[in-house]
Amino acid sequence: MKINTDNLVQEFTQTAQRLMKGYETLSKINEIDVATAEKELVWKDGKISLFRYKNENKITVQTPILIVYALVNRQDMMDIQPDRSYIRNLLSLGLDVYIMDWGYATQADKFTTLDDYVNGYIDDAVDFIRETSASEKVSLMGVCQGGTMSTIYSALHPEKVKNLVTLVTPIDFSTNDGLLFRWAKDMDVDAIVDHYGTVPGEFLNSGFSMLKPMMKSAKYMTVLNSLDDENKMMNFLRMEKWIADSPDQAGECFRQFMKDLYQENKLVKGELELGGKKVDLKNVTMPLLNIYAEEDHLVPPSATKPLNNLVGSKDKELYKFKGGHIGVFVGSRSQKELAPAVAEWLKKRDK
Amino acid sequence: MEKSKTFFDTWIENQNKVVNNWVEMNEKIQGQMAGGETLQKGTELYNDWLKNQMNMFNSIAKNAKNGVNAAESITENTKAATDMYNNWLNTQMEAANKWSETMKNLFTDFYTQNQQAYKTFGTVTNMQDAWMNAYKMMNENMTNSFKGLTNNFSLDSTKDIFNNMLKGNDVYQKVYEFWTNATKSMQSGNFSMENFKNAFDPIGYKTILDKLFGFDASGQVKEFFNNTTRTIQDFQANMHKMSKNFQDMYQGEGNLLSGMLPVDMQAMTEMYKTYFNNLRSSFSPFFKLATPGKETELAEVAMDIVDNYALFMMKGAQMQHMIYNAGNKAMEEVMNDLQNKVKDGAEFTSFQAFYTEWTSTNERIYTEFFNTDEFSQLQADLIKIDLEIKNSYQKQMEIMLQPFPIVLSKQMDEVYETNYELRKRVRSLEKTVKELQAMITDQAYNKTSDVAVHSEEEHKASSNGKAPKATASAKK
Repeated sequence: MKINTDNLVQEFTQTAQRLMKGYETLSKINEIDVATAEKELVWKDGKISLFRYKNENKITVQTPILIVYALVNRQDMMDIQPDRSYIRNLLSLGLDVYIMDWGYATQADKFTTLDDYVNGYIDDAVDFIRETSASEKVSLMGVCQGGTMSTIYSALHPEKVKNLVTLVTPIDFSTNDGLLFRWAKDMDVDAIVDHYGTVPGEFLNSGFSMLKPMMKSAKYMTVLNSLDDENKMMNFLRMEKWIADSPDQAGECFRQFMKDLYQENKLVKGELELGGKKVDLKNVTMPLLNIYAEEDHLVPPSATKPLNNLVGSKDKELYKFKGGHIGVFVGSRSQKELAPAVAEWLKKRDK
Repeated sequence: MEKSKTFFDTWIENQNKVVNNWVEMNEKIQGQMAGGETLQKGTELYNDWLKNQMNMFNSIAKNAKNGVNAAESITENTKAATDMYNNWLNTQMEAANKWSETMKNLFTDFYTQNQQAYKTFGTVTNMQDAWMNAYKMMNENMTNSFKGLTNNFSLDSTKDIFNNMLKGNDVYQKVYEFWTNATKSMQSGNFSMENFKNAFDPIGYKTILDKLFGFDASGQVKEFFNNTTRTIQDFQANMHKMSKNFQDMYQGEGNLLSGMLPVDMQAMTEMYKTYFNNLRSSFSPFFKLATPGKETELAEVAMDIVDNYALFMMKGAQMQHMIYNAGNKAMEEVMNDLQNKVKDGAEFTSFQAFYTEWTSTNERIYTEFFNTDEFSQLQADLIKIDLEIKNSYQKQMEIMLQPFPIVLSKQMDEVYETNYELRKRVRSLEKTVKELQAMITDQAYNKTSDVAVHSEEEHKASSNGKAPKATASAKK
C-alpha cells in the first residue's frame, strides 16, 4: 500500500494558493455580462415586455417565433454568452425571434393568475406579433414551465398558432422520477402562498439547490482549477449570475400551477380550467416538436414525453437530446445540434 | 401599561425556558445518535489533540493577519495580502515538505531497524497531526482575513462566489482531516473498517454535514430568541420613553395654563384648543395601544409561537438526525471502497481523487434519501410550521404597529386586489374597444363600397326610369 505524502501535502496547500488567486481574479471583475444579443422592446404591459431580436441575417423562416420562457428564473440563459447562445444560433439560421420577458413580480402581482399569463399576456403578445408582422399565425417555442403555458395556449387558441416547439416541458406530473415532482406532492401550497403572497425566488432556489446537495460545495472547489483561464472563469460567473437571478412568483399563478398540475395532474386528465374553459390537449392540432433532455433531473423525460400521445396533431415529433436541463441551451452540443435541428424543422413547416 | 409589562416579562421567561429545554433535548439526541460515551470520549481526545499541538505556525499566522488589516486600498490589500501569504506559504510548504520527507525516512528506518525505537517514534503520527492542525489554523486565519476584504468587491455576485469558495474549501479541508485518519492506518498497515469506525470522530464529521446543509439550529434559534427578546424589551423601553415625553409635555402645558388665569376668555379658549390638540395627538397612540382585549390576542399568538417552535425544533432535530445518518452511510461506503483498494495494492497519490469519490457517493446516497416518503413529508411539515411561526410573528407585529401611521400588509392586500381587478377590467375593455373599432372599420369600408355600387345603379336607373336594386356589399 503506497501513499505519496509529498504529493498530498502539495495538493492540499495548493488549494490555499488557488483561493488567494481566486480572490485576486474575482476582485478585478466589475461586470458580468449575460444576454447581450441585441433586441428591441416592441410591446409592454406593466412589468411584462415583449422583445424582438435584431437580425442582421436574412430571414428565411417567415413565420415569427415567440419564445415563452418559464416564470422561474430568467430567459437570459438562452443567450448566456455569445459563443453559447441558443438564440443567436436561431437568428443566424434565419428565424425572426421574439421573446417574452416576465419581469420581476412584486407583492402587487400576488393576485395574477395562470389565466392572466396564458389568456392575457401571451395572447396579447401573439396578437401584437400577428398585427405587426405579415403573418396570421405565430410559432410558439415554450421552455420548461413556459412550454406548459404554450401548450395550454395552443389548446385554447389553435387558430393563432402555426407550429409548437416545446423544450424540456413538464406535461405529465404523475411521475415521481424527479425530486421536485416527489416533493411537490406533499407541499402545503396554500400555506406557502397565503404567507408569502408572491413566492420568493430564494425559496424556490433553496429547493433547487437540494436536488444536487453536494454540487454547491464541490463546484466551488472545481472552479479553483480554472482561475487562470479568464474565459472559463467568466463562463462560470455568468452561470452563477443566472442561477442567482430568480424572480418571485405571482402567488395565485403559483398556487394553481402547483395544485392543479403538480399535485392533481389536471392537464393530462383534461380537467384543467382556464378563464372558464376546459383545456383539451386534443385541440393542439398544429405541428409539434417536443424536445426532452435524457439526463434532466429537474423535468424528467417521463414528464415530457407523454405530450406526443395526448395532442391531436398529426405531424408530431419527439426529439431526444443527450444532456441535462440546462445543457439543452448552454452546452456545446446544443449549439451544433439542437438549434439547427429546430430551425430546419420550422423551415419545413413555414408554408 | 403595568398589565402589559407583566405579560411581556412572563412571555420572555417562557421563551427562555423553551430554548433551554430544546438545547438539552438536542444534546440528548446527539448523544443517542453518536453513542453517548463515544461522543464524549471522541470530543475529549480531539480537544486534547488541538490544545497540545497548536504551536507551529501560531505567531506567523497572527503577524500575517495584522499585516492584511493594516492595508489601505483594495489594490494594496490584494497585493499586500497575496504577496505576504504567497511568501509565507512557500516557506511553509518547503518546511512541510522537508518535514514530511524527514519523518517518512525516519519512520521507515526506525520501524524496519528498531521496533523499540518505532514505539518511541509513534509520535510521528502526532507530528503529522501537528502539521495538520497548524495548517488548519493558518487556513482559518487566512480565510477570516479574506472574508473582511471581500467587502471591497464591486459586485455582490463575485463577493458571494468567493464566500462560497471559502465555504467549499472549509468542507474540503474537513474531509481531508477524516481522510488522514484513514491514511495513518494504512501507513501503519492496520487499516480496516473496524479500526476506522473506532477512530471515527462523529462530532467532527457532523460539522462537515452542518456546513453542507447549513445546520446550526441551536445557535440560530438562540439568536432568534435573543433578538426577539431584545425587540420586546426595546419596545417596552420606547413606550416608557414616549410616555415620559408626554408626561413632561403635559406638565409644561399644565403650568402654562394655570399661569394664564384669570385672562381674556377668547385667548384662553384658543390656547386651550391648541393645548388639547397637542394632548390628543401625543397621547392617542397610548390609548389605542392599551385597548382592552388586544393583550389577550397577543398572548394567544405568543402561545401559538411557543407551541410551533417546540414542534419545529423537534422535527428539525429529526431531520438533522436523518441527514447525519445518511452522511455516515455514505462515509462508510467510501471507506469500504478504500479498504478494497488497499487490499488490491493501489497507490494513493491524490486526495482530490478521494474527495471526488466522497462527493459522488454522498450525492447518490442523499438523492436516494431525499426521494423517500419520510423525507418528503418531514420537509413539507417543517416548511409549514416555519410559515405558521412567521405568520404568528407577523400578526403580533401588526397588533403592535396598528396604532402607528404605518400601512399594514393586510391593508396593502386590499389595495393590490383592487388594483388587480381594475387592471383586468381595463384590459378586457381595451380588447372590447379594439374589437369594436375593427367592426366599425369593417362596416365603414363596406358602406363605402355599397355607396360606390349604388351610385352606378342610380345612374342607370335614372336613365331608364327604374329604381336602383339593392346590391350585395363587397366583402373584404
